[in-house]
Order: sequence, then structure tokens, then C-alpha cells
Amino acid sequence: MTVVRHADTGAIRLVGSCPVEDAEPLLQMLQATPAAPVDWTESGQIHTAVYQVLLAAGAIPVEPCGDGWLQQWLAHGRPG
Amino acid sequence: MNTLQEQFVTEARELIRQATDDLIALERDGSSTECIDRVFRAFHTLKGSAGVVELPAMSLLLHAAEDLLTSVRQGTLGVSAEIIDQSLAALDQVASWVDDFEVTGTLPAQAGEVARSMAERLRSFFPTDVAAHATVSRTSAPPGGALPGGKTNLPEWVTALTQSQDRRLTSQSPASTLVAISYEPLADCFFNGDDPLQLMRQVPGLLAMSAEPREAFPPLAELEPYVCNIRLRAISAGNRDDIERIFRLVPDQVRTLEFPDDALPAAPDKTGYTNELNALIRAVVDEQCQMLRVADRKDDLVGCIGSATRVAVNALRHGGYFVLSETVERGGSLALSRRDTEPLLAALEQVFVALGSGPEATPDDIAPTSPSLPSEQIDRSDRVLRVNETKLNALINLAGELIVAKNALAHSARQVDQELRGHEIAAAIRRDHAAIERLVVELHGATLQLRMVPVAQVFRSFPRLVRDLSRQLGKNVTLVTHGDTTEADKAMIDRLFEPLVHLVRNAVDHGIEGPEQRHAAGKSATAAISIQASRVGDRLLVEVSDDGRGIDAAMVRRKASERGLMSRTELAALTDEQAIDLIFAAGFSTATAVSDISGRGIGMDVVRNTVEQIGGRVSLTSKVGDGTKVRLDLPITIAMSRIMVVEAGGQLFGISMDAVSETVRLTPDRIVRIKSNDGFVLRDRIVPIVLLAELMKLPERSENANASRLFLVIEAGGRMAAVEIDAIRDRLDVVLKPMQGLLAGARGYAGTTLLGDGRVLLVLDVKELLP
Repeated sequence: MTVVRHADTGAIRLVGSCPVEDAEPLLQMLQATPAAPVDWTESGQIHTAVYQVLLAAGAIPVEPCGDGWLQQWLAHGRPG
Repeated sequence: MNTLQEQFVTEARELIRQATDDLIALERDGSSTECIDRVFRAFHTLKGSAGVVELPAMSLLLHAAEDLLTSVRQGTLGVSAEIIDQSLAALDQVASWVDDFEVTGTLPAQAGEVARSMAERLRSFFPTDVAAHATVSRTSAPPGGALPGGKTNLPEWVTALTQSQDRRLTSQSPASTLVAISYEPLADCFFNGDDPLQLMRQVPGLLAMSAEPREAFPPLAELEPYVCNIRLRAISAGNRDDIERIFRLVPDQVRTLEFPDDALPAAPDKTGYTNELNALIRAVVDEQCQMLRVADRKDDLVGCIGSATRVAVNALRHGGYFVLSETVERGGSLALSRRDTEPLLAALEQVFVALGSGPEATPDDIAPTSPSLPSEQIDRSDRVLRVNETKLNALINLAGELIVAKNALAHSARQVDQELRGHEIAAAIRRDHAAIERLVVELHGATLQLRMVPVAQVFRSFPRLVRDLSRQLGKNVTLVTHGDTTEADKAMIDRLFEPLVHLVRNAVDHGIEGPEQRHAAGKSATAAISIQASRVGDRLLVEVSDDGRGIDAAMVRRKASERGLMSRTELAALTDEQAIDLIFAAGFSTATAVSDISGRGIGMDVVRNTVEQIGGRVSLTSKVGDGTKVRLDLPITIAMSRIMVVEAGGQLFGISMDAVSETVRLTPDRIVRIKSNDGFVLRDRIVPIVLLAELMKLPERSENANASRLFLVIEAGGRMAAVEIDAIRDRLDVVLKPMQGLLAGARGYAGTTLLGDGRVLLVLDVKELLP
């Protein structure tokens, strides 16, 4: 399990690599608290399914992503 | 032709040769991935270079061939002899265009037409349904220059992507092309274990990328996390084929579009912006330089270097000059470790110059170069040097002249020695002469080494020849070459080609049996021909052998008698080996029918003549049913000849030692008169005597009936003769100068050389002189 909720702030943290299985728990957390900030600064490589959940929820964080490639190319959400 | 074009010609020829080799290997060894990749790369590079020198017809043809090979590589098409045939034909066409291009600087007028029809033929191999299904669908945007306002022809999403984000994607250099990728993964792709982003991560040279929902996402409560609803789009500066290889498992979900980057918006406001930015960065960099130049006080040197590096790097990064910023970082750390501002200053000055390289300079135009750090690449390119052959020959000729001068010095040294015997000066001259002699010989040897090339240069053409011939004749033949790295003089290697062609043709055509015959003889269906080179002392041995039917001595005798080469009795007296040797005689052909491949009855004759002209010998061994082996025994170099200086009729002549098998001195009683001619018996063979003086139309020496006589035994074309001379004066290594002017066509002369005393020595080709 690499999607965890921060006990104090309630933020959703992606820690380490986020394989396809993480999409569902992430979605559940976002459904529960749509306004909770997401922290992906400590994440490893993120699977497309996980990224898709963030994109669909409009929850692409502003902070730099731990997945350097993703940060460089897709951290801005929808282009334009 | 400019340098670029000259380089193209050289490189194209190398690539064509390599592609030919690899295509043949591909056919022989089946479709090993490595082999296909090599062929593909060669075609691909060739296509690229043709584009650079702007030969659209050549690019068109190569592009079609490349597409065909792509299918082979992807496994949608199997390698067939027809595909190899057509690919080879395409290479042949390209080779001939390269020749045209070298001479005229352009392609023939009908090149476009030829390219189109050949490309069509290549494309005819695509099974249309398979092609549509399994290859990544590709489209090409026409080059921007051909269209008014090129950008309108790009799909909107491509334009949007190039202008999106904070990356400046503007037209950079006219030669480069970009690839737009649109990837729409299937909805259930996650269940197949696909991770579309993972594929995107592998795309080389990414410039821009976007991810967006294919259909608008539903409210979060209804989102299906494992249904993929994402469309990924990207622009890459990478190679389209490399990109397509990444997506080879999902070809139906990916579209690629290749477009020239000049189809991108020119973005004039951004150019202005770039200029302004460049000026600003230059100012910052300049300031750092000035600060560093006055930072001579030791105590704050480290601080100065550190801050100057930081400021300059930040400014460059801000402007998007990442490569240049790395240059400065390297210069900075070098400066810190040496406690010297120089490396950093050098890097900054380099940056300063690079930034000032004109208004159109945009970040990626500026090439990376590292300051004061030796580059491995430079070393590598220095190892091989292309030198014009004429220049090389001039050097070798000079070294040759030096040998002649050295011989003259030897003569003078001997004279001094005789006249001033015991004198100190004589000893000094002798000593100096010995030193010069050693050096000159070494110099000459070293220059000749420059002309040494591996036999692989000739061997290279044969796999293709054997393949084409055996296909034409319906035979199954493999060619193996050994000792490809054996070296010999370039002149020798060049002359080796023709005899080898005849030998290999003969082997395929006459030597190797048809498939049925081989089957009946219990031999393997695939015949083998081998060409083997080896070096023995200062000789180069080249052997061509086959495992075919061998040569039947009885059949050769019959043919020789039919052709009237010899009488039946003469033929009967020959040993089998001597009889087989007759196939080298002029006008002999063992083929039952004259084919257009060989069998004109001149092949083997040419082989022996050519080989003997370059100082070599040919011999042949054959066993009926087992095969034939032809052995060429050649000198390693033909630039230097060993001659014997002989006297006859009061004159000196040179005779090549290669021609002389032995020298014999005989007492008059050994000479017998046979018919009108003198002769003697040497090891059970009768050797006729020829007088050199008589051959040269010189007065004969008055005979002293009791004196012993001196002969050179010459073997030529299977016959023996003894050439009588008066004396042997010397043995020399000389550089032969061919006969020139009026004498160029004179028969019987191999050339001339200068003797130590300045006299010109005529060197005879005794084999031609023999009656």
C-alpha cells in the first residue's frame, strides 16, 4: 500500500512507486474527501491508472512530483 | 563537390557495401534479429545521408526499401529470395546513382521515374491487409517549404502541442524532422498489464507531451479506476522507427506523423524575446568574466569562482541553455579543484561566443563542447586517416628513388674503398653508407606498409557474386572466406579481383554439380566454395576450392585434342596433373555448352596471364568427384622487384628473379643437339637452350668449346627453357619503372631501372621473349 493519508493534515500521500493497484484506494480516498490535498513529492514511478485518477479528480498537485519524468512532462494536468 | 558531398559519396559506398553483405548474410542465416537490424540501419543511414545532400529520388527509393525491411523486422513479412533480390537491385541502383553524383553532382534526369517504379516494386511485397493491420499507421506531412503557411497542414492537436506548455518549440534547423505521436490505449488495456505512460517514458527526444481524457471524465463517484480513458500525445525529435518499435505491441492504438520542424510556427515574437534574453545572459556572463579577471587575491578566489559559476549557470538555465550551463558547471568545478580561474573563464568565453552566434540562435542550436577536456571522440577519428592514393604513391615513388640513390652510394662507397684502401675516409663512408642503407630500406618498407590493405577488400564482393550466380543456375552454394585480414599491397589486391572472379565463376558454373547430380553422388545439397588467404613469408597464398565434381583428366585430354591444342601422342605422354593444367591454355573450355556466366574458354587463360603478370604462379589440384582447388601464389607487393643483372652479348640486362626457377652451369659434354636446337637433360626433362644474345639480336661471344656454359632455367606456361647468358653480375632489389612513350608497347620488356653507376638497365620479361 503506497497511498496513505497523513494522520494530522488529512493529505493523501503517494509514497514510493504507485502500481496499477493503487488507483482504486486512491480513488476511494478522493471520493471520501474530494478537497484533500495530494502530496506526491515522495512518490516513485506512477502508473497510468493512478495518474488518470488524479487527472479525473482534478487533483494534480502543484508541488513537484517524485516521479521526475512525470514532473517534467505531465505535472501540469491538461495542457493549454 | 563540396566536402559534405564528397563525404557522402565515400560513406554511401561503404554503406552500400555493408548493406549488401548484410542482406546476403540475412538470406543465408535466416532472419536473425541482429542481422535484420544491421541491414535496416545501413538502409536507414543511407536514406538519411541522401536527404542531407538533397537527392529526393534516392531518398524515395531507399524509403520504400526501408519500409519493406521494417515489415521484415516486425515479422509481418518473411525473408524471401525475391525480397533480397529487389533490395539488392535497389542498392545497385543507388550505387550507380552515387557514381553519377560523384561525376556530375546530380542524378540522371530519369532518376525520379526509376525510383518511383522501383519503389512500387518494393511495395508490391506488402500483403495489403496485413500491412494495414500490423504496422503502426504512419503518415508524412509534406515538407513545410512546399506549402504556403505549412503549419495549417498539421493536425490541430500537433500545433496545439507545439505551442503548449512553457517549452518553446520553434523551427530550428531545416534538416530535422519531428515525430508527432498520438496514442489512444484501449479501455481495457490495464487488464492486459499495459501501462501506457511506461511506453511513453521510452520515447527518445521528447519535446512536448499531453494527457487528456478521450471522453470527458464522469463525476468522481462514477469513475471506473481500471478503465483507461486517456489519450496521450507527444512530439519527439527522435527517430520515427525507434519510436514505432516502442509501440510495436500496440500498433492499432498508435498513430505517428512525421513532419519537418520548419512546419512549426516561426514565432517571431519569441525570436525577439530570445534575442533580448540572449543579450541579457551575455551581459551577465560578461560581468562574471570581468569579476574573475580581477579576482587574483588568493583568499576570496574560491568564493569568486563559486559565485560566478552559480550566477552564470542560473542565467543560462533561465534562458533554457541547459547544455551550456553544464559546460559552465564543468569549467567551474575544474577551476575550483585547480584553484585557478582559467578553466571557468574559458568556459564562460565559449558561452559568450556561442550566445552571440547570430539572431537566430535559439537554445538548442548551440552545440555542446567541453572546455579543455580531451574528448575521446577526437582520438578515435584520428586513428584512421583517409589519404588520396596519388599522394601515397608519390611518397612511395620518392622512397623508391631513395633506394636507387642508395644503390648509387653503394657503388661510390665501393670505389672509394678500392682506391683509398685503409684510408679513414673510406671506412667512414662505408659506415655511413651502412646506416643510410638500413634507414632507406626501413623507410621504403614503412611506406609500402601504408599501401597494405586486407584481402577482405576483394573478398567482400564475392558473397554477392556467388549468390547471384547460384540463383541464376539453380544451384545451392555457400561461400566461406578465410583469412580476410591477411594484408597485401593495394596494387596487388586490386589486380587480384579479376582472376578471382574467373575462378569463382568457374567453380559455381562448372565445378559445382546440379542438385540432382549432387544428390545422386550422395553429397550434401548445399555446395561449398571457399576462398582462403594466408601469408607465407613474403608470399600471399590465395586458394579457391570447391566440393564439386572435380576435373577429369581424360576429359581434358579429349577436349585438348578436339581443340587441336596438342597431338594425341603428346597428350598421352602427359601426366594427369599436366593434362589438367591444360585448362589454363588459351582457347580451352571445359563447358559442354557456352553459358553467359563462364565457359567462353578464356577464363582460366586470363587467370594465369594476370597472375603471372603480377609475379605470381597458379597451380591447380583436382580430384574427380571431390572438387577442385586452385592455388594462387603471389608476391605481397609488386612495387619492389628482385632482379638478377646478367650479361649477354656485351650488354647488361635485368631479369626478374620470379621468372627464374634455377641457374645451372654445365660443361659442354652435357649439351646435346636435338634436331636444329641445343638442349640438355635436367631431372629427366629435356630443356631447350635459347641464347639471350641471339634473342636480343646481339653479337654472340666467340665460343670457347671447352668452357662451361651458364643457363637460367625459366618455366613459363608449363614449358621449360634454358636461357644462356655470359655471366651473372649482381642481384638487386629495384623499383621497376614501366616502359614509357614509344617503348610502352614493346614486347619483352618489364621496365627499366637505374644502376648504381647511373646506367639505365633494361629489365626483360623473358617469358614473353621466349620463342
